Amino acid sequence: MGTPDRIAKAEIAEPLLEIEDLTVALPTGSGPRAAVDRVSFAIGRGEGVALVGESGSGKTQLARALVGLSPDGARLSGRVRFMGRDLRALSDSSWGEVRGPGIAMVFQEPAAALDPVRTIGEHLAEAIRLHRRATADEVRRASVEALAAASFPDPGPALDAYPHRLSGGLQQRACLAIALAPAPRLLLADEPTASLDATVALEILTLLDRLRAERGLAVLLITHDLGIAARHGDRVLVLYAGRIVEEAPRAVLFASPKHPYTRGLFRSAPRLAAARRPGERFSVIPGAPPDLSARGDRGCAFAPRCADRFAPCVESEPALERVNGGRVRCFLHSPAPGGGARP
Amino acid sequence: MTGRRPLLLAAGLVKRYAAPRGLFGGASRPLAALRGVGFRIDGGETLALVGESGSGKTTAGRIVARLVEPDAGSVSLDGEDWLALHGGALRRRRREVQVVFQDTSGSLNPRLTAGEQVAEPLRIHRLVPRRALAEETRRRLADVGLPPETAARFPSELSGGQRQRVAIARALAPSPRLVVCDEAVSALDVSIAAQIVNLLLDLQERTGVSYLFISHDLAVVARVARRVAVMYLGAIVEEGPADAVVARPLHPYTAALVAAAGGRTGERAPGGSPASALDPPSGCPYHPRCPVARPRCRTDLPTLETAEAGRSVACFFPGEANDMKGFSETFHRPHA
Repeated sequence: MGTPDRIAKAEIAEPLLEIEDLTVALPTGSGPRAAVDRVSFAIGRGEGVALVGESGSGKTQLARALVGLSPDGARLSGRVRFMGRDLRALSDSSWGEVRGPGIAMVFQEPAAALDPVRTIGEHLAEAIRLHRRATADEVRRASVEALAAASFPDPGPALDAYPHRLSGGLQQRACLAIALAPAPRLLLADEPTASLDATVALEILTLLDRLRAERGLAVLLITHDLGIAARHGDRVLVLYAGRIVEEAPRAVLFASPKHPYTRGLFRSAPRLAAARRPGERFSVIPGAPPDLSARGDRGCAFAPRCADRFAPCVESEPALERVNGGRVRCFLHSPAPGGGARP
Repeated sequence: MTGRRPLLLAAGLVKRYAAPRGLFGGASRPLAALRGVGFRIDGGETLALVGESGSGKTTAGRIVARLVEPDAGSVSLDGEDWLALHGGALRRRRREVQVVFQDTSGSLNPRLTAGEQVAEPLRIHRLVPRRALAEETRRRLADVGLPPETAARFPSELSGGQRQRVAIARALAPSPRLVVCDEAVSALDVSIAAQIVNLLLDLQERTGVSYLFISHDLAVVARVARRVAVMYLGAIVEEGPADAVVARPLHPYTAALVAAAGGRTGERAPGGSPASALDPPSGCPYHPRCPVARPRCRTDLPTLETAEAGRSVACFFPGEANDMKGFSETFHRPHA
């Protein structure tokens, strides 16, 4: 077992969200297993942090735990503090003060997040009235402002529109407007563009960047796409089998990814620059991520798929060690117990 | 273009769907999913159809696979009229064109094991003697990188990547001439998608099968296909060798896709939602989003014309968006 990922508080001047040793264990056929495994990191005010992971990495369970929406039967441990407040100790009623005006969320499927029988205006009015008293005129004005903040092209008429009348891109803008209406400090965006067309997706991500710059909104962008993460996060966290395996400022991660998993992801992601020569193949990471129920508790979780593994990797798990500007969990970059010749 | 006969030639494909009526009725308007689409696929080659939702790329693939009948247009397979086949004649030859879908929950039978999924087409088309069926099934699973014990597993017991391998083994079992891959890797994780793309390339080299590779992802397409056709609102707006199209797009929409995929045009894409096929704009359907549109583009419809050797484009001002300096910064306003 590795050590918990301690984080120096001094690293982030004004931490908005601090997560320490967070574990989310889910019931499986072979007992509870950690979908999120001793994760620690912090998000500063107005900071953009991208969390990258493939399906089953635990990225969605992590986000849900942050807003108290873990599934029934989930067991949580560790600490989560938001603006100095201990979120793990919140009662159901106190969550109402955090969700919305503190932490807001947007999801992958905007159509599923919107109620099909209510207009966009009704959604917005509910979000606004949940957190303050307002007259009908004030609600209308605040609603138009929220839609305008989400760069909705024609806010007035949109208030009377039902969700199905809008394209996927506009539905996601409406979801963003609803999330932004109570002026949150942190936005959790869970694969916000995975269901959108490429040109529309880029617009939504550009909008998130602008909201950070203009309003000081902090964003935790959860994505499977390393390219999106590296372009739209100040800092990137890479999650594998519930563990943070690498963390780095985007420039550092782009210039020199350290963990073999991160390097493999960069290599296997298709890039336009490289047209394929005849016979050429995508570079791939062999195998597949481990199932939750099949996760071993010894060694590095990535070792079975890793081309660079050597003896210590299957014996014990490396700690998350500081390596020029970032942190990486790999014996190639930290002392391995009992030596062990590196490959 | 080579002088040899194409494996598949599609011309003038038109497909209209009746648009859904509003809650209180009202006149039903036809929705043009395809507005005259043609392409050719040579033996052992891959043509990619790339476009966003509503571009008509899936409808084009379904017509080729005989899952949807066009309202007009022709498709020939190996010089024969492929759309003229019906009933028993079509059933006997259906195996020549197979499909791999994005979602295996629709293409694999949840009650059949992986082995049975692959054995079924071999048995139905009587491609293997009964006593050799089990052995052949194992061989076919091995061809797609699945170990023999996979044969006894049900789809629900397999990962997404393994299920897509089974779907590919099933599609290739009857030795098709052409496989329509409709967003075949879009639902998979990056590291698994790369494995499946490599598998498709390996199988093509080994068997000489042709692919119609349908995808929204220009970056994947550029690695898979030698030729690419870019679709927008039911029509092909640009067609040519994949490397040339990506390196120097001629149509402003292609330039936007290249930008969105992080290509050399920059990281910012132009804004705007795809126009609705229900209510297509006048003139060039792309003009409301186009950074180089002129008055003419609002009234006249450009047709697909040869622009240079092996490349064609439907644009009055080809290449301008790509050459535009500051293209990214000047244009990202949203459009309703």
